[in-house]
Amino acid sequence: MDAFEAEQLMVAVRGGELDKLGTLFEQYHAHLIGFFRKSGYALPVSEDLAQETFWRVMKYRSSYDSQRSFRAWLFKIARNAMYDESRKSSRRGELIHSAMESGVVQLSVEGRQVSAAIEGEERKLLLQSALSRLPAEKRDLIVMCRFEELPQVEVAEVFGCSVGALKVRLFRALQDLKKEFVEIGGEAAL
Amino acid sequence: MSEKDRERFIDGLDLSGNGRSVKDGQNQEERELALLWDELGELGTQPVSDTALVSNFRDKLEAYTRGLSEGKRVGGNDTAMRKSESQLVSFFRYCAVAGTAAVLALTSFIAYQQYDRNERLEGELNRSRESLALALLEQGSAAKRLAGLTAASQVISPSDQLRDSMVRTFDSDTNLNVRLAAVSALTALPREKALALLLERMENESSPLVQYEILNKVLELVDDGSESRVMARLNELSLEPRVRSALVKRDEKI
Repeated sequence: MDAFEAEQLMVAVRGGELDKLGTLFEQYHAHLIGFFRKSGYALPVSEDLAQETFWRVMKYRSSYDSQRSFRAWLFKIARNAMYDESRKSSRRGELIHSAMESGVVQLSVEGRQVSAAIEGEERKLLLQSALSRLPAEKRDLIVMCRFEELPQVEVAEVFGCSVGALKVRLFRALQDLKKEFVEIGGEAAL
Repeated sequence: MSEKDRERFIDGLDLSGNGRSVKDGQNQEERELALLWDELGELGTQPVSDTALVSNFRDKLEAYTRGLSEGKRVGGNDTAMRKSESQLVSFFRYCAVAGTAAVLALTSFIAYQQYDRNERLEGELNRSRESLALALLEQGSAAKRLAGLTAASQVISPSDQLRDSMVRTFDSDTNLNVRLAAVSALTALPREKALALLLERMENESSPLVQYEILNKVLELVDDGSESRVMARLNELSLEPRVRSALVKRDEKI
């Protein structure tokens, strides 16, 4: 399904054809779950958030502007749903904390003896932890630009800025990610 | 590092996950960030569609849609019911207004009938009193003439015939009590007529008692508009000295 087709479906949903929302969910739920997972949420919570995002899409369907990107609008709603969830629940905080702790402890105890393969996995774990430690705005920016394969124009729309400003923000977010990564024990490559 | 350099760096990042972001000519920070970017790509996995989740969402969506249309249908029935109730209330309201109007009209009609009947009875009674007064005023007995004057004073709008009979009784009756009673009866005439008649008779009245009674009645009939005129007329009249004295005293009191 291309972006145009998704936008047409959303226009139909806005017009009252609510069953079309099922098709959109089928198309985008995996992307949303991936986004929530990379933002540090456990799978069950991510699935709940994906559904919550689509209930909000239905609730606010009349506000959808067909001149704008559906995906950008969808991820904007997803971010709001995620922030609301983080405010009312401590699930994400506990998850990040435990993931980070386990990663650091493992590295400090066994780091010098593990094989290169395991070391690679640990770098991933540390990187995930560093990502989770970033402020939400920067983490979401990296996740959307790196994993969701959204065009920078659409990501800029989600964040309400120009493409140029988006690139500068992304650069700074990467700088902060590197700092966090080194802080929790990761070694800067090269 | 300028913003342009940062934008250029971001433009050079690879999205494919093949680790091609590190390029020649980059400084150390750029190389580290580029490597980090490539490593981030290794965290990503292809989104996997969860059919159970999709099915679950579709079920919920269908239930919601069904509930929504059911709600609209019930809402529609409620609206129809409310409309029907509203029409019924309007109908009863119109009925109540129409009923009240009918009752008012009927009451007015009955009241009018009653009023008309009363008017007729009153007229008949008035005519009977007048006939009685006329008959009694012609009687030889002073008591009957007194009764006739009493009846005459109760007649509303006495006819010319009755008035003439009362004036004649006043002018020519031999009994002083009857004449005094006639003075009182004449005050029942319209005020201006009564005043003119009494003032005219006053000057020629020989009995001081009757003249005094006439004076009392004249002063009773006087109102603000006619007071000065009547008083001037009274002063012009030739009155019995005691009556004049009484008039002066009354005038001082006034």
